[in-house]
Amino acid sequence: MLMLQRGDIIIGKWTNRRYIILKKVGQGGIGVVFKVKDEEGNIRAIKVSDDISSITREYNIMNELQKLDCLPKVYQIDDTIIHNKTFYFFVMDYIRGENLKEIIKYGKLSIKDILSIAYIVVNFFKRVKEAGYSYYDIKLENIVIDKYKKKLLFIDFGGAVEGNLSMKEYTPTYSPEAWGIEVNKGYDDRIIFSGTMLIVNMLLEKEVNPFTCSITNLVNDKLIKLKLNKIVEKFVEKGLYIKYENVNIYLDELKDILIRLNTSNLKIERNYDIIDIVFICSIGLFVLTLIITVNYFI
Amino acid sequence: MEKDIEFKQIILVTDGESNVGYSPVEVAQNANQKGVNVNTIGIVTGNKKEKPLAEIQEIAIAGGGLWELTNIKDFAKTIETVTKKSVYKTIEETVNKELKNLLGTELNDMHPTSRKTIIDIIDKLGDEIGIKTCIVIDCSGSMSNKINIAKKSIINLLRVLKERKGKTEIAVIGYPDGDYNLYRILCDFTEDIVELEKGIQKITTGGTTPTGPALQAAVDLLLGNEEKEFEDINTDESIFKDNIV
Repeated sequence: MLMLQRGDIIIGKWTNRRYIILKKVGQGGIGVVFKVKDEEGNIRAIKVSDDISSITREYNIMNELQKLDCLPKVYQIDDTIIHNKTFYFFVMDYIRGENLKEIIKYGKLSIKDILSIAYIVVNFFKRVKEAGYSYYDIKLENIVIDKYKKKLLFIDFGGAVEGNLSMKEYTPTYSPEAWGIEVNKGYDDRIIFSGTMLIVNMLLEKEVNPFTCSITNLVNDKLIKLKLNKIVEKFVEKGLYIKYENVNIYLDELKDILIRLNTSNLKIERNYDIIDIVFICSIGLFVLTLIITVNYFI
Repeated sequence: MEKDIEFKQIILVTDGESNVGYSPVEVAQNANQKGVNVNTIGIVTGNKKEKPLAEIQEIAIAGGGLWELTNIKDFAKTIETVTKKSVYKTIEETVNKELKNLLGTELNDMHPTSRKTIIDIIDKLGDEIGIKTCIVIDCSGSMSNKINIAKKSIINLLRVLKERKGKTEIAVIGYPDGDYNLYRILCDFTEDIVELEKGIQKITTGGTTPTGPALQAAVDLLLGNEEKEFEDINTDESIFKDNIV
Protein backbone atom coordinates (compact mmCIF):
# COMPACT_ATOMS: atom_id res chain seq x y z
CA MET A 1 0.00 0.00 0.00
CA LEU A 2 1.37 3.37 -1.04
CA MET A 3 1.59 5.75 1.92
CA LEU A 4 2.24 9.38 1.07
CA GLN A 5 1.36 12.35 3.24
CA ARG A 6 0.89 16.06 2.80
CA GLY A 7 4.31 17.65 2.33
CA ASP A 8 6.03 14.55 0.94
CA ILE A 9 7.94 15.22 -2.26
CA ILE A 10 7.98 13.04 -5.36
CA ILE A 11 10.95 13.47 -7.67
CA GLY A 12 10.76 12.22 -11.25
CA LYS A 13 13.64 9.92 -12.18
CA TRP A 14 13.73 10.99 -15.85
CA THR A 15 12.68 14.64 -15.73
CA ASN A 16 13.96 15.50 -12.25
CA ARG A 17 10.75 17.44 -11.69
CA ARG A 18 9.48 17.74 -8.11
CA TYR A 19 5.88 17.48 -6.95
CA ILE A 20 4.70 18.30 -3.42
CA ILE A 21 1.87 16.08 -2.19
CA LEU A 22 -1.13 18.10 -1.00
CA LYS A 23 -3.65 15.32 -0.38
CA LYS A 24 -4.90 11.94 -1.55
CA VAL A 25 -7.92 12.38 -3.79
CA GLY A 26 -8.81 8.90 -4.88
CA GLN A 27 -8.00 5.26 -5.31
CA GLY A 28 -8.55 3.54 -8.64
CA GLY A 29 -8.20 -0.09 -9.60
CA ILE A 30 -4.56 0.36 -10.50
CA GLY A 31 -3.27 3.27 -8.50
CA VAL A 32 -3.66 6.14 -6.09
CA VAL A 33 -4.38 9.72 -7.18
CA PHE A 34 -2.89 12.68 -5.30
CA LYS A 35 -3.42 16.40 -5.57
CA VAL A 36 0.06 17.96 -5.95
CA LYS A 37 1.81 21.26 -6.57
CA ASP A 38 4.50 21.26 -9.26
CA GLU A 39 7.68 23.38 -9.45
CA GLU A 40 5.90 26.25 -11.19
CA GLY A 41 3.23 26.33 -8.51
CA ASN A 42 0.56 24.68 -10.69
CA ILE A 43 -1.96 22.48 -8.94
CA ARG A 44 -2.04 19.10 -10.67
CA ALA A 45 -3.11 15.51 -10.02
CA ILE A 46 -0.75 12.54 -10.26
CA LYS A 47 -1.66 8.89 -10.52
CA VAL A 48 0.92 6.64 -8.86
CA SER A 49 1.16 2.83 -9.07
CA ASP A 50 3.70 0.03 -8.85
CA ASP A 51 2.18 -1.47 -11.99
CA ILE A 52 4.36 -0.30 -14.89
CA SER A 53 2.10 -1.67 -17.66
CA SER A 54 -1.09 -0.12 -16.31
CA ILE A 55 0.40 3.35 -15.82
CA THR A 56 2.06 3.31 -19.26
CA ARG A 57 -1.14 2.08 -20.93
CA GLU A 58 -3.44 4.57 -19.20
CA TYR A 59 -1.11 7.51 -19.92
CA ASN A 60 -0.83 6.59 -23.59
CA ILE A 61 -4.57 6.13 -24.03
CA MET A 62 -5.40 9.41 -22.26
CA ASN A 63 -2.80 11.13 -24.40
CA GLU A 64 -4.32 9.71 -27.59
CA LEU A 65 -7.87 10.64 -26.55
CA GLN A 66 -7.08 14.30 -25.73
CA LYS A 67 -8.80 15.40 -28.93
CA LEU A 68 -12.15 14.17 -27.58
CA ASP A 69 -11.99 17.00 -25.05
CA CYS A 70 -13.79 15.06 -22.30
CA LEU A 71 -10.88 14.13 -20.07
CA PRO A 72 -8.16 15.82 -18.02
CA LYS A 73 -5.12 17.06 -19.93
CA VAL A 74 -2.09 14.82 -19.32
CA TYR A 75 1.47 16.10 -18.91
CA GLN A 76 4.61 14.10 -18.00
CA ILE A 77 5.00 10.37 -17.37
CA ASP A 78 7.84 9.41 -15.06
CA ASP A 79 9.21 6.97 -12.47
CA THR A 80 10.05 7.65 -8.84
CA ILE A 81 11.47 5.82 -5.85
CA ILE A 82 9.41 5.78 -2.66
CA HIS A 83 10.81 3.91 0.37
CA ASN A 84 13.32 2.07 -1.86
CA LYS A 85 10.65 0.83 -4.23
CA THR A 86 10.11 2.01 -7.81
CA PHE A 87 6.72 3.51 -8.60
CA TYR A 88 5.38 4.82 -11.91
CA PHE A 89 3.27 7.93 -12.31
CA PHE A 90 1.83 10.44 -14.70
CA VAL A 91 0.75 14.03 -14.21
CA MET A 92 -2.65 15.39 -15.26
CA ASP A 93 -4.99 18.32 -14.62
CA TYR A 94 -6.55 18.49 -11.18
CA ILE A 95 -10.30 18.77 -11.64
CA ARG A 96 -12.23 21.01 -9.27
CA GLY A 97 -15.68 19.57 -9.10
CA GLU A 98 -17.85 16.79 -7.82
CA ASN A 99 -18.30 13.30 -9.14
CA LEU A 100 -21.73 11.85 -9.90
CA LYS A 101 -21.68 9.66 -6.81
CA GLU A 102 -21.41 12.78 -4.63
CA ILE A 103 -23.95 14.68 -6.71
CA ILE A 104 -26.71 12.03 -6.55
CA LYS A 105 -26.37 11.93 -2.76
CA TYR A 106 -27.92 15.40 -2.60
CA GLY A 107 -30.68 14.34 -4.99
CA LYS A 108 -29.94 17.40 -7.13
CA LEU A 109 -30.46 15.80 -10.52
CA SER A 110 -33.68 16.15 -12.49
CA ILE A 111 -34.85 13.52 -14.99
CA LYS A 112 -33.67 15.84 -17.76
CA ASP A 113 -30.20 16.12 -16.15
CA ILE A 114 -29.98 12.35 -15.80
CA LEU A 115 -30.92 11.67 -19.41
CA SER A 116 -28.58 14.40 -20.67
CA ILE A 117 -25.68 12.88 -18.73
CA ALA A 118 -26.47 9.44 -20.19
CA TYR A 119 -26.48 10.98 -23.68
CA ILE A 120 -23.05 12.58 -23.18
CA VAL A 121 -21.61 9.37 -21.68
CA VAL A 122 -22.84 7.00 -24.42
CA ASN A 123 -21.84 9.46 -27.13
CA PHE A 124 -18.37 9.69 -25.56
CA PHE A 125 -17.97 5.89 -25.56
CA LYS A 126 -19.00 5.87 -29.21
CA ARG A 127 -16.34 8.46 -30.05
CA VAL A 128 -13.72 6.49 -28.08
CA LYS A 129 -14.45 3.49 -30.28
CA GLU A 130 -14.17 5.63 -33.42
CA ALA A 131 -10.75 6.75 -32.15
CA GLY A 132 -9.64 3.09 -32.03
CA TYR A 133 -10.07 2.22 -28.34
CA SER A 134 -12.47 0.30 -26.13
CA TYR A 135 -13.76 1.91 -22.95
CA TYR A 136 -17.11 1.25 -21.37
CA ASP A 137 -16.31 0.62 -17.76
CA ILE A 138 -18.05 3.41 -15.92
CA LYS A 139 -18.51 4.17 -12.30
CA LEU A 140 -20.41 7.15 -10.93
CA GLU A 141 -17.27 8.31 -9.15
CA ASN A 142 -15.25 8.36 -12.38
CA ILE A 143 -17.51 10.93 -14.02
CA VAL A 144 -16.85 14.42 -12.72
CA ILE A 145 -18.61 17.69 -13.35
CA ASP A 146 -15.95 20.38 -13.66
CA LYS A 147 -17.32 23.32 -11.68
CA TYR A 148 -15.38 25.98 -13.58
CA LYS A 149 -15.59 24.72 -17.12
CA LYS A 150 -19.17 23.43 -16.61
CA LYS A 151 -18.26 20.23 -18.34
CA LEU A 152 -18.58 16.49 -17.85
CA LEU A 153 -15.17 14.81 -17.62
CA PHE A 154 -14.06 11.17 -17.48
CA ILE A 155 -11.17 10.71 -15.09
CA ASP A 156 -10.18 7.02 -14.98
CA PHE A 157 -8.99 5.12 -18.06
CA GLY A 158 -7.45 2.21 -16.15
CA GLY A 159 -9.77 -0.24 -17.88
CA ALA A 160 -9.43 1.16 -21.40
CA VAL A 161 -7.69 -0.87 -24.10
CA GLU A 162 -6.52 -0.44 -27.65
CA GLY A 163 -8.57 -1.86 -30.53
CA ASN A 164 -10.49 -5.03 -29.88
CA LEU A 165 -8.57 -6.34 -26.87
CA SER A 166 -10.74 -7.36 -23.92
CA MET A 167 -11.22 -4.82 -21.13
CA LYS A 168 -8.76 -4.81 -18.24
CA GLU A 169 -11.17 -3.68 -15.56
CA TYR A 170 -14.88 -4.11 -15.49
CA THR A 171 -17.40 -2.96 -12.91
CA PRO A 172 -20.03 -5.74 -12.69
CA THR A 173 -22.89 -3.23 -12.23
CA TYR A 174 -22.35 -1.94 -15.79
CA SER A 175 -21.54 -5.30 -17.36
CA PRO A 176 -24.42 -7.05 -19.18
CA GLU A 177 -22.76 -10.45 -18.57
CA ALA A 178 -22.90 -9.99 -14.81
CA TRP A 179 -26.69 -9.50 -15.10
CA GLY A 180 -27.03 -12.51 -17.42
CA ILE A 181 -27.93 -10.32 -20.43
CA GLU A 182 -26.67 -11.68 -23.73
CA VAL A 183 -24.34 -9.54 -25.82
CA ASN A 184 -24.69 -10.12 -29.56
CA LYS A 185 -23.33 -7.02 -31.17
CA GLY A 186 -20.24 -6.41 -29.03
CA TYR A 187 -19.27 -2.82 -28.27
CA ASP A 188 -22.57 -1.13 -29.21
CA ASP A 189 -24.51 -3.52 -26.96
CA ARG A 190 -22.18 -2.85 -24.06
CA ILE A 191 -22.33 0.91 -24.23
CA ILE A 192 -26.13 0.87 -24.60
CA PHE A 193 -26.33 -1.29 -21.47
CA SER A 194 -23.77 0.78 -19.52
CA GLY A 195 -25.52 4.04 -20.36
CA THR A 196 -28.95 2.73 -19.39
CA MET A 197 -27.61 1.29 -16.14
CA LEU A 198 -26.15 4.71 -15.40
CA ILE A 199 -29.65 6.20 -15.76
CA VAL A 200 -31.07 3.55 -13.39
CA ASN A 201 -28.37 4.18 -10.78
CA MET A 202 -28.86 7.93 -10.89
CA LEU A 203 -32.64 7.46 -10.51
CA LEU A 204 -32.21 5.08 -7.58
CA GLU A 205 -29.39 7.22 -6.15
CA LYS A 206 -27.13 4.20 -5.66
CA GLU A 207 -25.16 1.66 -7.68
CA VAL A 208 -27.14 -1.58 -7.88
CA ASN A 209 -25.43 -4.96 -7.48
CA PRO A 210 -26.09 -7.67 -10.12
CA PHE A 211 -25.40 -10.42 -7.59
CA THR A 212 -28.17 -9.38 -5.22
CA CYS A 213 -30.67 -7.93 -7.69
CA SER A 214 -32.00 -8.80 -11.18
CA ILE A 215 -32.94 -6.88 -14.35
CA THR A 216 -36.59 -7.89 -13.82
CA ASN A 217 -36.42 -6.31 -10.35
CA LEU A 218 -35.11 -3.08 -11.89
CA VAL A 219 -37.64 -2.99 -14.72
CA ASN A 220 -40.46 -3.39 -12.19
CA ASP A 221 -38.94 -1.08 -9.59
CA LYS A 222 -41.69 1.09 -8.10
CA LEU A 223 -39.43 4.08 -7.53
CA ILE A 224 -38.24 4.09 -11.15
CA LYS A 225 -41.82 3.76 -12.41
CA LEU A 226 -42.88 6.59 -10.17
CA LYS A 227 -40.17 8.92 -11.43
CA LEU A 228 -40.59 8.24 -15.15
CA ASN A 229 -43.33 8.65 -17.71
CA LYS A 230 -44.31 5.75 -19.99
CA ILE A 231 -41.99 6.79 -22.86
CA VAL A 232 -38.85 7.06 -20.72
CA GLU A 233 -39.80 3.90 -18.82
CA LYS A 234 -40.03 1.98 -22.10
CA PHE A 235 -36.71 3.45 -23.23
CA VAL A 236 -34.99 2.29 -20.00
CA GLU A 237 -36.50 -1.19 -20.29
CA LYS A 238 -35.39 -1.57 -23.92
CA GLY A 239 -31.91 -0.34 -22.99
CA LEU A 240 -31.52 -2.81 -20.11
CA TYR A 241 -32.52 -5.72 -22.35
CA ILE A 242 -30.37 -4.23 -25.18
CA LYS A 243 -33.24 -4.14 -27.68
CA TYR A 244 -31.61 -1.54 -29.93
CA GLU A 245 -30.10 -2.37 -33.33
CA ASN A 246 -27.15 -0.06 -32.78
CA VAL A 247 -25.96 2.82 -30.65
CA ASN A 248 -27.04 5.49 -33.17
CA ILE A 249 -30.68 4.42 -32.92
CA TYR A 250 -30.38 4.46 -29.13
CA LEU A 251 -28.87 7.95 -29.12
CA ASP A 252 -31.48 9.26 -31.60
CA GLU A 253 -34.30 8.03 -29.38
CA LEU A 254 -32.66 9.55 -26.31
CA LYS A 255 -32.25 12.85 -28.18
CA ASP A 256 -35.94 12.79 -29.16
CA ILE A 257 -36.95 12.31 -25.52
CA LEU A 258 -34.72 15.19 -24.45
CA ILE A 259 -36.21 17.50 -27.11
CA ARG A 260 -39.73 16.59 -25.97
CA LEU A 261 -38.76 17.30 -22.37
CA ASN A 262 -37.41 20.70 -23.35
CA THR A 263 -40.53 21.68 -25.24
CA SER A 264 -42.90 20.47 -22.53
CA ASN A 265 -41.61 23.15 -20.17
CA LEU A 266 -38.96 20.87 -18.59
CA LYS A 267 -41.58 19.11 -16.54
CA ILE A 268 -42.05 15.45 -17.14
CA GLU A 269 -45.56 14.05 -17.00
CA ARG A 270 -45.91 11.71 -14.12
CA ASN A 271 -46.98 8.25 -14.84
CA TYR A 272 -49.95 7.57 -12.59
CA ASP A 273 -50.44 3.90 -12.09
CA ILE A 274 -52.18 1.67 -9.61
CA ILE A 275 -49.68 2.43 -6.80
CA ASP A 276 -50.35 6.16 -7.05
CA ILE A 277 -54.08 5.60 -7.06
CA VAL A 278 -53.89 3.32 -4.02
CA PHE A 279 -51.64 5.87 -2.30
CA ILE A 280 -53.93 8.83 -3.01
CA CYS A 281 -57.04 6.82 -2.00
CA SER A 282 -55.47 5.76 1.31
CA ILE A 283 -54.57 9.39 2.14
CA GLY A 284 -58.15 10.41 1.32
CA LEU A 285 -59.52 7.63 3.50
CA PHE A 286 -57.23 8.64 6.36
CA VAL A 287 -58.33 12.29 6.17
CA LEU A 288 -61.99 11.24 6.05
CA THR A 289 -61.59 9.02 9.13
CA LEU A 290 -59.85 11.90 10.91
CA ILE A 291 -62.69 14.31 10.13
CA ILE A 292 -65.32 11.80 11.30
CA THR A 293 -63.40 11.11 14.53
CA VAL A 294 -62.90 14.81 15.27
CA ASN A 295 -66.62 15.49 14.56
CA TYR A 296 -67.60 12.63 16.84
CA PHE A 297 -65.65 14.02 19.78
CA ILE A 298 -66.85 17.59 19.20
CA MET B 1 6.19 -17.02 -25.17
CA GLU B 2 3.77 -18.60 -27.63
CA LYS B 3 0.05 -18.05 -27.40
CA ASP B 4 -0.68 -21.78 -27.25
CA ILE B 5 1.18 -22.03 -23.96
CA GLU B 6 -1.29 -22.40 -21.10
CA PHE B 7 -1.21 -20.26 -18.02
CA LYS B 8 -2.06 -22.38 -14.98
CA GLN B 9 -3.34 -20.72 -11.85
CA ILE B 10 -5.21 -21.44 -8.64
CA ILE B 11 -7.48 -18.90 -6.96
CA LEU B 12 -8.06 -19.84 -3.34
CA VAL B 13 -11.15 -18.20 -1.81
CA THR B 14 -11.55 -18.38 1.96
CA ASP B 15 -12.81 -16.44 4.96
CA GLY B 16 -10.67 -18.17 7.58
CA GLU B 17 -7.54 -20.12 8.34
CA SER B 18 -6.98 -23.79 7.58
CA ASN B 19 -7.52 -26.11 10.50
CA VAL B 20 -7.34 -29.61 9.04
CA GLY B 21 -4.64 -31.48 7.15
CA TYR B 22 -1.18 -30.40 6.00
CA SER B 23 0.12 -26.89 5.44
CA PRO B 24 -1.34 -25.03 2.45
CA VAL B 25 1.80 -22.85 2.35
CA GLU B 26 3.95 -25.88 1.53
CA VAL B 27 1.49 -27.03 -1.12
CA ALA B 28 1.57 -23.54 -2.69
CA GLN B 29 5.36 -23.46 -2.73
CA ASN B 30 5.48 -26.86 -4.35
CA ALA B 31 2.88 -25.85 -6.94
CA ASN B 32 4.79 -22.69 -7.84
CA GLN B 33 7.94 -24.72 -8.51
CA LYS B 34 5.92 -26.73 -11.01
CA GLY B 35 4.71 -23.64 -12.85
CA VAL B 36 1.36 -23.19 -11.14
CA ASN B 37 0.54 -19.72 -9.85
CA VAL B 38 -1.30 -19.69 -6.50
CA ASN B 39 -3.38 -16.58 -5.72
CA THR B 40 -5.59 -16.01 -2.69
CA ILE B 41 -8.67 -13.94 -1.89
CA GLY B 42 -9.74 -13.40 1.71
CA ILE B 43 -13.40 -12.58 2.25
CA VAL B 44 -13.88 -10.16 5.12
CA THR B 45 -16.92 -8.49 6.57
CA GLY B 46 -17.15 -4.88 7.70
CA ASN B 47 -14.18 -2.66 7.18
CA LYS B 48 -11.37 -5.21 6.85
CA LYS B 49 -10.21 -4.65 10.44
CA GLU B 50 -11.07 -8.14 11.60
CA LYS B 51 -8.75 -11.14 11.70
CA PRO B 52 -5.90 -10.31 9.32
CA LEU B 53 -6.09 -13.61 7.45
CA ALA B 54 -2.27 -13.74 7.57
CA GLU B 55 -2.31 -17.23 6.13
CA ILE B 56 -3.71 -16.16 2.77
CA GLN B 57 -0.80 -13.76 2.34
CA GLU B 58 1.71 -16.50 3.16
CA ILE B 59 0.06 -18.90 0.72
CA ALA B 60 0.12 -16.32 -2.11
CA ILE B 61 3.74 -15.36 -1.49
CA ALA B 62 4.81 -19.03 -1.43
CA GLY B 63 2.71 -19.68 -4.53
CA GLY B 64 4.19 -16.77 -6.51
CA GLY B 65 0.77 -15.16 -6.79
CA LEU B 66 -1.26 -12.20 -5.58
CA TRP B 67 -3.48 -11.85 -2.55
CA GLU B 68 -6.41 -9.55 -1.91
CA LEU B 69 -9.01 -8.92 0.79
CA THR B 70 -12.57 -8.06 -0.18
CA ASN B 71 -16.13 -7.76 1.04
CA ILE B 72 -18.41 -10.38 -0.46
CA LYS B 73 -20.34 -7.73 -2.44
CA ASP B 74 -17.15 -6.74 -4.29
CA PHE B 75 -15.99 -10.34 -4.71
CA ALA B 76 -16.91 -10.55 -8.42
CA LYS B 77 -14.69 -7.60 -9.30
CA THR B 78 -11.87 -8.84 -7.05
CA ILE B 79 -11.73 -12.38 -8.45
CA GLU B 80 -11.71 -10.94 -11.97
CA THR B 81 -8.94 -8.47 -11.17
CA VAL B 82 -6.79 -11.05 -9.36
CA THR B 83 -7.18 -13.58 -12.19
CA LYS B 84 -6.23 -11.07 -14.88
CA LYS B 85 -3.47 -9.36 -12.87
CA SER B 86 -1.70 -12.63 -12.11
CA VAL B 87 -1.73 -13.51 -15.82
CA TYR B 88 -0.31 -10.12 -16.83
CA LYS B 89 2.21 -10.11 -13.97
CA THR B 90 3.63 -13.45 -15.12
CA ILE B 91 3.76 -12.37 -18.77
CA GLU B 92 5.47 -9.14 -17.76
CA GLU B 93 8.09 -11.06 -15.77
CA THR B 94 8.69 -13.38 -18.72
CA VAL B 95 8.96 -10.53 -21.24
CA ASN B 96 11.33 -8.69 -18.90
CA LYS B 97 13.55 -11.76 -18.66
CA GLU B 98 13.61 -12.05 -22.45
CA LEU B 99 14.46 -8.35 -22.79
CA LYS B 100 17.35 -8.75 -20.40
CA ASN B 101 18.65 -11.77 -22.32
CA LEU B 102 18.33 -10.12 -25.73
CA LEU B 103 19.15 -6.48 -25.05
CA GLY B 104 20.62 -6.48 -21.57
CA THR B 105 17.91 -4.06 -20.47
CA GLU B 106 14.58 -4.23 -18.62
CA LEU B 107 11.30 -2.38 -19.05
CA ASN B 108 12.31 -0.32 -16.03
CA ASP B 109 15.51 0.92 -17.70
CA MET B 110 13.66 2.18 -20.76
CA HIS B 111 12.37 5.75 -20.95
CA PRO B 112 8.62 5.82 -20.03
CA THR B 113 7.66 7.13 -23.49
CA SER B 114 9.42 4.21 -25.25
CA ARG B 115 7.78 1.47 -23.20
CA LYS B 116 4.60 1.38 -25.25
CA THR B 117 5.83 -1.15 -27.84
CA ILE B 118 6.71 -3.68 -25.15
CA ILE B 119 3.48 -3.07 -23.21
CA ASP B 120 1.53 -3.66 -26.45
CA ILE B 121 3.20 -7.08 -26.78
CA ILE B 122 2.31 -7.91 -23.15
CA ASP B 123 -1.32 -6.86 -23.77
CA LYS B 124 -1.59 -8.93 -26.92
CA LEU B 125 -0.14 -12.02 -25.21
CA GLY B 126 -2.44 -11.52 -22.22
CA ASP B 127 -5.44 -11.52 -24.51
CA GLU B 128 -4.40 -14.54 -26.54
CA ILE B 129 -2.82 -16.90 -24.00
CA GLY B 130 -4.84 -19.91 -22.83
CA ILE B 131 -5.85 -19.66 -19.17
CA LYS B 132 -6.61 -22.62 -16.92
CA THR B 133 -7.97 -21.42 -13.59
CA CYS B 134 -8.84 -23.74 -10.73
CA ILE B 135 -10.97 -22.01 -8.11
CA VAL B 136 -10.66 -23.56 -4.67
CA ILE B 137 -13.54 -22.32 -2.56
CA ASP B 138 -13.99 -22.55 1.18
CA CYS B 139 -17.46 -24.00 1.87
CA SER B 140 -17.07 -24.25 5.63
CA GLY B 141 -19.90 -23.16 7.94
CA SER B 142 -18.82 -19.51 8.10
CA MET B 143 -19.24 -19.10 4.32
CA SER B 144 -22.92 -20.07 4.31
CA ASN B 145 -24.32 -16.51 4.04
CA LYS B 146 -21.79 -15.54 1.36
CA ILE B 147 -21.94 -18.56 -0.89
CA ASN B 148 -24.75 -17.40 -3.19
CA ILE B 149 -22.92 -14.25 -4.26
CA ALA B 150 -19.71 -16.30 -4.57
CA LYS B 151 -21.44 -18.77 -6.93
CA LYS B 152 -22.75 -16.00 -9.19
CA SER B 153 -19.37 -14.28 -9.17
CA ILE B 154 -17.56 -17.43 -10.37
CA ILE B 155 -19.99 -17.81 -13.28
CA ASN B 156 -19.47 -14.13 -14.10
CA LEU B 157 -15.70 -14.70 -14.13
CA LEU B 158 -16.00 -17.29 -16.90
CA ARG B 159 -18.34 -15.01 -18.88
CA VAL B 160 -15.91 -12.09 -18.62
CA LEU B 161 -12.79 -14.12 -19.41
CA LYS B 162 -14.49 -15.62 -22.45
CA GLU B 163 -14.39 -12.15 -24.04
CA ARG B 164 -10.66 -12.72 -24.54
CA LYS B 165 -9.34 -14.22 -27.75
CA GLY B 166 -7.51 -17.02 -25.89
CA LYS B 167 -9.13 -20.15 -24.49
CA THR B 168 -10.38 -19.99 -20.89
CA GLU B 169 -11.10 -23.03 -18.78
CA ILE B 170 -12.33 -22.98 -15.20
CA ALA B 171 -12.55 -25.80 -12.64
CA VAL B 172 -14.03 -25.53 -9.15
CA ILE B 173 -13.09 -27.45 -6.01
CA GLY B 174 -15.15 -26.95 -2.85
CA TYR B 175 -13.90 -27.82 0.63
CA PRO B 176 -14.89 -29.56 2.83
CA ASP B 177 -17.47 -31.87 1.28
CA GLY B 178 -20.06 -32.75 3.89
CA ASP B 179 -18.88 -34.22 7.16
CA TYR B 180 -16.47 -36.84 5.88
CA ASN B 181 -14.62 -35.67 2.77
CA LEU B 182 -11.96 -32.99 2.80
CA TYR B 183 -12.85 -31.62 -0.64
CA ARG B 184 -14.94 -32.26 -3.72
CA ILE B 185 -14.22 -31.53 -7.37
CA LEU B 186 -17.46 -29.73 -8.22
CA CYS B 187 -16.57 -29.10 -11.83
CA ASP B 188 -13.58 -30.26 -13.88
CA PHE B 189 -11.99 -27.83 -16.37
CA THR B 190 -14.61 -26.47 -18.73
CA GLU B 191 -15.22 -23.60 -21.15
CA ASP B 192 -18.95 -24.15 -20.96
CA ILE B 193 -20.99 -21.81 -18.74
CA VAL B 194 -23.90 -24.25 -18.39
CA GLU B 195 -21.57 -27.00 -17.22
CA LEU B 196 -19.93 -24.65 -14.73
CA GLU B 197 -23.34 -23.55 -13.42
CA LYS B 198 -24.35 -27.18 -12.97
CA GLY B 199 -21.17 -27.95 -11.01
CA ILE B 200 -21.48 -24.89 -8.81
CA GLN B 201 -25.05 -25.73 -7.84
CA LYS B 202 -23.63 -28.73 -5.98
CA ILE B 203 -21.96 -26.46 -3.43
CA THR B 204 -23.19 -26.93 0.12
CA THR B 205 -21.73 -25.28 3.19
CA GLY B 206 -20.78 -26.61 6.62
CA GLY B 207 -17.81 -28.19 8.38
CA THR B 208 -14.14 -27.37 8.89
CA THR B 209 -11.43 -25.71 6.77
CA PRO B 210 -9.01 -28.28 5.24
CA THR B 211 -7.25 -25.77 2.94
CA GLY B 212 -4.03 -27.78 2.37
CA PRO B 213 -5.61 -30.96 1.02
CA ALA B 214 -8.05 -28.97 -1.18
CA LEU B 215 -5.19 -26.92 -2.60
CA GLN B 216 -3.26 -30.10 -3.37
CA ALA B 217 -6.28 -31.49 -5.20
CA ALA B 218 -6.28 -28.34 -7.36
CA VAL B 219 -2.59 -28.77 -8.18
CA ASP B 220 -3.23 -32.39 -9.17
CA LEU B 221 -6.16 -31.37 -11.34
CA LEU B 222 -4.11 -28.66 -13.08
CA LEU B 223 -1.14 -30.94 -13.68
CA GLY B 224 -3.32 -33.81 -14.85
CA ASN B 225 -2.86 -35.88 -11.67
CA GLU B 226 0.59 -36.88 -12.85
CA GLU B 227 2.67 -35.48 -10.09
CA LYS B 228 0.77 -36.27 -6.94
CA GLU B 229 3.22 -35.97 -4.09
CA PHE B 230 1.08 -36.08 -1.04
CA GLU B 231 -0.68 -39.16 0.12
CA ASP B 232 -4.36 -39.11 -0.74
CA ILE B 233 -6.05 -38.48 2.57
CA ASN B 234 -9.38 -37.50 1.17
CA THR B 235 -11.38 -39.93 3.24
CA ASP B 236 -9.02 -40.33 6.19
CA GLU B 237 -11.27 -39.59 9.10
CA SER B 238 -8.59 -39.88 11.80
CA ILE B 239 -6.66 -36.87 10.52
CA PHE B 240 -9.88 -35.00 10.13
CA LYS B 241 -10.79 -35.48 13.78
CA ASP B 242 -7.35 -35.01 15.32
CA ASN B 243 -6.56 -31.74 13.69
CA ILE B 244 -9.64 -29.72 14.37
CA VAL B 245 -8.53 -26.53 16.06
